[in-house]
Amino acid sequence: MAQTRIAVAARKGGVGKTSIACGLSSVMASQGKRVLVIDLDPQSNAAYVLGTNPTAPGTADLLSGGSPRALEASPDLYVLPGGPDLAGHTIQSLDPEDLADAVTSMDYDVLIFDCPPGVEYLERLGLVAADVALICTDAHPLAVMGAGRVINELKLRQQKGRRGAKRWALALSRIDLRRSMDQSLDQQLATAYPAIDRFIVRQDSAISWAGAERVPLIKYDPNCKGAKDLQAIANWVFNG
Amino acid sequence: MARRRNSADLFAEATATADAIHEQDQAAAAKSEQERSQKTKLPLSQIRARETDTRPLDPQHVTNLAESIAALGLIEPLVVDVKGVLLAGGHRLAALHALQETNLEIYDQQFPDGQIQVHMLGFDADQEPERALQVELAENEKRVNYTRDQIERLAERLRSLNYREIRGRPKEGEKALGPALAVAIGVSARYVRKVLSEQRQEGRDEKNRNSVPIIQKLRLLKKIEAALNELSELPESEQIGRSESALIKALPAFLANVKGSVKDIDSAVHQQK
Repeated sequence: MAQTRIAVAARKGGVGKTSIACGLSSVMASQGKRVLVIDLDPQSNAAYVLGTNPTAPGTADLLSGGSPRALEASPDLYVLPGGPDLAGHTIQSLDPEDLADAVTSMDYDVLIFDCPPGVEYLERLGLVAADVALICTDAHPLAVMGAGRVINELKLRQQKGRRGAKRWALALSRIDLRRSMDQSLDQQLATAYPAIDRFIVRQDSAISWAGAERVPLIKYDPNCKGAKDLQAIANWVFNG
Repeated sequence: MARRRNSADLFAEATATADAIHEQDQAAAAKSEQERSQKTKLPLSQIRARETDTRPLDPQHVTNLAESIAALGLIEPLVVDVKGVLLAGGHRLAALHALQETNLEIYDQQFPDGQIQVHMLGFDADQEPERALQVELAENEKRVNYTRDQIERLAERLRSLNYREIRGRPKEGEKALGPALAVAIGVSARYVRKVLSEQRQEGRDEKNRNSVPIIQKLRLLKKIEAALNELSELPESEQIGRSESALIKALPAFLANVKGSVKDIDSAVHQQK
């Protein structure tokens, strides 16, 4: 089976990238896929959320030519931690395609790149290495602005025929349809980006608690709302 | 409290801003792409040798450089193109590989992160082979030839910094003068040793012999004599011009005068002693 590579990005911070990336990884691993989460965030949250050591050598090591050992979070679910080394000069001066090259021979069914907020050169490494992108936004104009910037970058790369994600969808995160802002978010995104698929990930305390207690989502609660919403995303990733 | 606006308007404003800021995003991306050419370090494995060298590598020079890199690290970064293809520093690159092979421990000490200092120029040697060649030649020409006096003065300064002339591997706290000097001025360690040992011998003489004009004259005359002898041994050309035939005629007498002068000065010098 061909490898699936997913970038999870938002540009804005705190909109649920890591929660969605790690939740999705847990969902896919529970479906029998061998999954590796590659954390591109200097804050190194993904390894923490999945219950592994966030300070172990990880993505920065991989990008510097090393071959760090992925940490096992649960059967079939592995993670390469991020960390402050990602903010170093060596990583900053990498070619945007270097991560894509570094992961070509990795033995996993699915790679998920958890992109950092703000740091565009790191985010770009993930977007270029992926074949699918999930752009996260919550129901706040600032998050929508961040998502818009990511979409514009993806579009431009595609127009220019450059390497990178070929299809993408919006993941609307922490949605509670009782709120008016949340209701109009979906509407607005449908108007602004009519060709882009949208997925709603409902506000779900199980997702936050799983992260806080450092347990993969499916292990925490396989039947929670969040798991169901993420299953829909997994389905879109694999079946288009 | 201000009247709350329609949330659809708020989102529309945000997407519009995202589009407006896109141009700046592109400019920033282009700038960072350009700045990658300022890369200052590369793993040794990513520095690719050029396909042709303008001159063959001198194995002795490589060995000497490996020695000095072991002592001091790489002082002058290698010059590479945007793809990491070597533009200048063939000897240094070979010396780095040699050091890595023969003494990994020291190599790791000098390059703990496995990264080699490079100066990356913003072009692709494949696409601009002429420019690549110019860089390679310029780098070779740029090497300043230090006079013996300058080398001696540099050695003096290094000695004051606790560098010593030592044979073999320096002990704890010792710093080897020869290799340090060699790498600093880009000559072989052997040449430095030669200059320094001559300096020591001269130090024992009262005066530097070369500073006496008469000795210098003697040396030049001897050089002329040797050159003339060599010239006269060359096979004769078929067609020779008037000047050259006049020269050939005058040569024996001139050579005799040169020899005579050498003899005169020689005896004068001996008398002085």
